[in-house]
Order: sequence, then structure tokens, then C-alpha cells
Amino acid sequence: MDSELLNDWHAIADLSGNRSRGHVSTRLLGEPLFVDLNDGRGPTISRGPGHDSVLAKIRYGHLWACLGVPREDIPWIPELEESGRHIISGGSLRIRVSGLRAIENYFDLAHFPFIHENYLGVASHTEVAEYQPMVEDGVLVSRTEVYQEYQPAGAAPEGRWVSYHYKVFRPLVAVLYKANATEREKWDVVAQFVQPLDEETCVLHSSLSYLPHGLTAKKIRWFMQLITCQDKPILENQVPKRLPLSGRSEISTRSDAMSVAYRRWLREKHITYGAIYE
Amino acid sequence: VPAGHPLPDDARYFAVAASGEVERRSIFRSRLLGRDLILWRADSGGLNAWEDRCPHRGVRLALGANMGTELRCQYHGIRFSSGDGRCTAVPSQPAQVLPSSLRPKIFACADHSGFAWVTLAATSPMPPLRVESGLTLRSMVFAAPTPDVRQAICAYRFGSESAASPEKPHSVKFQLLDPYHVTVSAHTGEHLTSITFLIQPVDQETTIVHGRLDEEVRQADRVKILRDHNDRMSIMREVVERTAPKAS
Repeated sequence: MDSELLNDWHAIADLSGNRSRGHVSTRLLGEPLFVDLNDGRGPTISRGPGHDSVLAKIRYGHLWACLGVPREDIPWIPELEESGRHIISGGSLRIRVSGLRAIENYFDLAHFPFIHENYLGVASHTEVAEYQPMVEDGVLVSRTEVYQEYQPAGAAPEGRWVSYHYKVFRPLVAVLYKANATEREKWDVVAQFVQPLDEETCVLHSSLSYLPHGLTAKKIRWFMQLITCQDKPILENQVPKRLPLSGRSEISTRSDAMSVAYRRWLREKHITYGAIYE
Repeated sequence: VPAGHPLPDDARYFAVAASGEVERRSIFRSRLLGRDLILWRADSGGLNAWEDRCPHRGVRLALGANMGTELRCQYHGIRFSSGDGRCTAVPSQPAQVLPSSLRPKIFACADHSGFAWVTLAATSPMPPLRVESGLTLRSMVFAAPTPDVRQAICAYRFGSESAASPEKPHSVKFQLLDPYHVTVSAHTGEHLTSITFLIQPVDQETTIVHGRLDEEVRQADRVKILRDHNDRMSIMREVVERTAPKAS
């Protein structure tokens, strides 16, 4: 078993909307998990009735579980707890692909004009600006800009370069810091928490923190779900479903620098779950 | 391949569609011996058979677009040329040299006797089978392994005599040309008519059967004859799918 992922925290349920009653059945790393929300006295997680409990924590509106012994805490993302912002769940979407592929797609900029045309990218600007991914304190980081015309607040489209920074804190936790449309020096934050159900199926959970300028929580959630639903058919048609971490079965281009760095970073962590070594 | 040795399946040509089904500006999905394929026709008429997988990030090329001389992958808009499959555009880096190693896996293919043929080999020592012109039957998918379908086809019955008196099977005969091609002959009125069946082994559980009647039929009879064979093949399919061993 992949000790890196076994001893990591994974989001397994969206608890937004003050959900505190009932049960949740799910899976994590191929293991069935049973969540009892205990009528608000704090959820407990186990592998089933009569089994020992599994480590549980609530953070960023989600329930997190660790099947092993956690080596680190859940990454600290202060914007997800900052007041004066819309802090909302983007919903949970099950996707039939390795969670690693889902994360790789999350920070991929080159597909914006093709899969998210007129939302995250435009057909007239397909070139990805040069950028240099780096590992800073164990976190894989890229800082670049994306040409966008869409205005989430409903204003007339206006082309501009938007700062896009990604931090991949954990193999299955990536956060986008996107310059706010009104206050360019402040960030809207979209955190993606990928739950590996098994090696070839995952659930995308997300937590978003947006400055409120002209936006409603409903509109932000609609936008996030639109983007995820545009990605789903692409992700589910990747062959193989697991992410190749070696070999020449997938050829990279220069604009794939972040993907190449992510694959190297995963190799160095000896990630095997949801991965293929040829 | 030395004489007397069976041709390995990888080296054979298989009909995977009637040529007319592989239309310009579209992508035809198929599967052969467990491999997912796309067939696409360039505006020039040239036929391409590629692995259904972009060499960049593995997305199925069937999701993409046939641009006429190039195929464009849906995910990143990367384009590949008809013919040799070389990469012609990477939109995310228009100023860079095109990566020569970025090309899909290509299979040899040809239009021949009105069918689109593919071999999983880079080249095949045997050309596709010559099939008499006539009426192309509707292809049919069987949820059954190829040996069971082959056996059923060898017992295919048609024609006026066999229909009128099924106890006279001597009027129908079959000839197994090779493991994937069967000719079945029967008297239809005063003529002897033959159908060549072309068997496409899709994977362990699935088989597609293509067929061609060896005589030109009057336009007025065309639909009636097609429907007659379609009905007979449907009955054959029901029997084969009911009796074929199910994949566990």
C-alpha cells in the first residue's frame, strides 16, 4: 500500500449547510467507510459496524479521514477561514479516473481555451505564458498568468491577463489563487480536495473563498460546477485511467512544465496508488 | 509468413466498416482484437486508422474533430496530420518547434472492395480479401465470442428454397475461406446467390459481422432483401447470444 496516501488526510464528505444528522457511506483508498454524524455531537468514521474508528477531523466545511498515522496536518489555507468573503462548497462530483489525473487537469492551463472556452479561456489566446514550477517547503508551486475575458459578476466581457498561482500541497490537495477581478492584489481561492475512492475513481470536493464584489454564493457555485462538468467527460476519456509516472506513453510539451513537475514530485514521494510505472 | 502456417491475427486485415460509413469530417469509432481505434477520412478521401488515444495526455481521439486534413484532439487542440500522423500544431506553444515524437499510433488501413480494412500490424503480408460487388448488408454487433459467431454463420440459411422448405439444407452450402471470412451460397429463385460474411473480432466478448450479397438487386427489391437478411441475422444473434458462454 502507498504509505504516502495511507498516512495522509483526505476529504470524504461535504458538511456544508450545517449537515449534522444521519449517515454517510463512502470509500477511501478502496476501503469502505461508514460515517455517523451523531446528531451534531461530532462525526465518527469506521470501516463498518463493529470496526475500530478511523481518524476524523472537520476542516473547511468537509469531513476528513486518515486511514493510517498522519504525518502532517491538513494543509493550512487561511483564506478558507477568513471573514468578509463568500466561503462556499463547490459540490462533490464523482469522476471515473484516478484522482492524480484530476489534480493534473486542475492546474493545466493549456486546455482552458478548448474545454472552458469563453469561461476560463478564449480561442484567440491559446498560448500558455512561460512559467517555472518550483517546490517550496515541500509544496509544488506555479505562478503564471492566464488571458481571460469572462466577467463572473456579469459585466461585459473584457480581455485581461489574470494572475493564476497554484499550490499543490499534497498529492490530492491543490489550491488555485486567482487574482480578484476588482482588487487585483487580492486573491480568490479555489481549493480542490480529491477523494480517491479507488485507483480509478475519485470524488472532487472543493471549497471556494471569493471576495464578495458583485457576486453571490449561488453564482460562484454555479460557475464552479459548470467548470467541473466540462472537465468530467475529458477526464473519463483518458486512457489509461491511472496516471503514468514513467515511460514514454505520454509525450509532454514545454507548456506541460507543471504536469512534468507534478509527476516527478509524485515519483519522489513513491506514489503508486492511482499511478502506473511502465 | 511461411506457407502452411496460419497468419497471426495481428498481421491480418479485417473489415471494420463499409467504406461509406467512414464519412468525411467525422470520426468512426471501432474496436479490433481488444484495441480501441478511430477511423477518419481526409477530404482527399484518404483513410486513417489510429489508436483511439492522444499521445499527449491519453484522451480518446474520438472526442476530437476531423478538420479535413488534420485531426484535432479535444483536450488541448493539438493537431495531427492525415497519413503519417505527425503533429502539425500545439496551440499552447505556437512559437516552439513541433515535437516529432508526438504522434498517435497508426495502423495500416485501406479501402478495398467497398469496405474499410485495418490491420494491427504496421504492414501486412496479405492484402485484404477481394469481395464481389453487390449489396452490402447492414453490419451487426454480437455480444458473443468470435468462434461462436463463426459457427452460427456457417449454418446461416437464406433463399427461396430454404425458406419454403427448410428440410432441404443441401441447397445451401458454406465455405470457410479463412477463420474470418465465410461464403454462404443458396438458391434464390433460379440463381445461386452467395453472401460473403466478414467477421470482425472486436474483443473476447464481442464480434461484428459485415456482409455482402454477390448480386446487384433491383432498386425496388433492395429494402425487402436487406430487411430479410437483417431479420435472419437478428434471429441468429438471439440464438448465439443466448447460448454463447458469458464472460465471467
